[in-house]
Amino acid sequence: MTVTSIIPDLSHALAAAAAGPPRRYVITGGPSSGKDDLITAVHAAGIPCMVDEPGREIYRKHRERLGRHLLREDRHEYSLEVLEAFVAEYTAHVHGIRFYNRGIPDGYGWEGFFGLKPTPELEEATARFRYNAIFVLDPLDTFEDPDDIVWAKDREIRRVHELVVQGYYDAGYEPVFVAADAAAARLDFICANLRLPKPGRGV
Amino acid sequence: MDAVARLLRRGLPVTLAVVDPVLLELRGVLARAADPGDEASRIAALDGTLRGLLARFPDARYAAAARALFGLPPAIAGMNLTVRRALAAKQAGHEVHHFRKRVEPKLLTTLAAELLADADRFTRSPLIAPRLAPVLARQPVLADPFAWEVAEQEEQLSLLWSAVYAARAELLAVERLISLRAEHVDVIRAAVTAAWRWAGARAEAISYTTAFAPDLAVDELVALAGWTPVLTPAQASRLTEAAAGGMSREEFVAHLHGETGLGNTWTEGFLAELPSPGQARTVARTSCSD
Repeated sequence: MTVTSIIPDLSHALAAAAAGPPRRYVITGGPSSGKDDLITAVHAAGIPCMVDEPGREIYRKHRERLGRHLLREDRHEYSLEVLEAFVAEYTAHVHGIRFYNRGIPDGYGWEGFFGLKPTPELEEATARFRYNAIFVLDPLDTFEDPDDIVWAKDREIRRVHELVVQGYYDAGYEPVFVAADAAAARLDFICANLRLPKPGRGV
Repeated sequence: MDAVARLLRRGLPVTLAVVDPVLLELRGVLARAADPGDEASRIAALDGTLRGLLARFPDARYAAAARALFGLPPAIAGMNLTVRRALAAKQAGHEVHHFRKRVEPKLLTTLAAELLADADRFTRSPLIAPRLAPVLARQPVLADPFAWEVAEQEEQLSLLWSAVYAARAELLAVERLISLRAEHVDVIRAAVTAAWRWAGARAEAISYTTAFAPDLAVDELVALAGWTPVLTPAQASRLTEAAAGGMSREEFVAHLHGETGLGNTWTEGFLAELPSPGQARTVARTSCSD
């Protein structure tokens, strides 16, 4: 099995950056973009990275409390709680490099998916807490089967993806798009873009 | 294509001065706009859409040239078209006149096609039941809130369509029995079953539109099941309440015990003499001319 591991140069670069100002990088994209695999590769490479996306637990909690899916009227409270968690993740980091499993402007995608306008709290947090770079993972799937049937769910997933991207443009970012590829190759691409040594592969 | 070419004059960011209104009506733009009713919001959405498409320009050979042409790196915002074009030609490895005459129109055509394809991705066709194909491998749902939401939406959509088709089957059964001149009691029984299924479909339609598609009309969705006798809004609500929450046929009937007027409206509507084909055409023409 191919394993991504830290090469010494990368360790040195991370150590050198650790004493400096915070550098925050977001990895985002819609479902089916391979984000989880990439985050795993980031961890395996020893690069500081958010462990779990906070939205997951908060979603579970709200779903459990309501006993049904979240309706439009439930979303405000939910969104604010997710935003609070993302802001806490952001502010807790004060030195060196850190990757984020989604970022604050992902909230625009959430709101857009349900036809809601961004909350003032999201707008304010987006303006105040800025990331150094945004990496958008292109979808791994073409969402089309051999008979050219596009599933309703897949269309929605693509829609979510584009709304997330738009959210970052609305927030004033110029995301870097990471082409569909193996997680290790994507991590190499990201590191090269950040002028970091590429993690070794197949070690 | 002309609308996209017009954007070249200033490049990105998109401004009101150069934008063709037709681009602001694209479904992909409207879907991305934080406030689709606001022109500035749609311009921001168009700008983001174009940046995203140019960042993922499908022709790798000319991707950097296309970006430069519109003022994205290696160009910078504010460069005039002549400078951007020269930079783009250099990126493409062409002499500038050749680039302008031969390459640039193709890049604009490609970008216009990408914009249309993007708009198509945002087409929502909720009044058409999702097409299904054999699933040959397990399709796990990723542990991601977006994926959960989308899966839940498809669950609700599937429930909606199963309810609409169930109602359709029973409404067809009623008409078939009437055509067969079946026993009155059998027709009535079928009509009650149709009412139960129709009301269940209406309950699902309300649930789906409330949660996921507030822009859709419940009555239009339910009308897809087939013709029903005309009910007042209060009667339709009463039937829906009786079927909501997955009530069985027996529970539905018990819930409506004593609702003689409603029962008569429904069953007599089916049993009323059908208009002759000639009358039906007249009625149709009258309706269309209204």
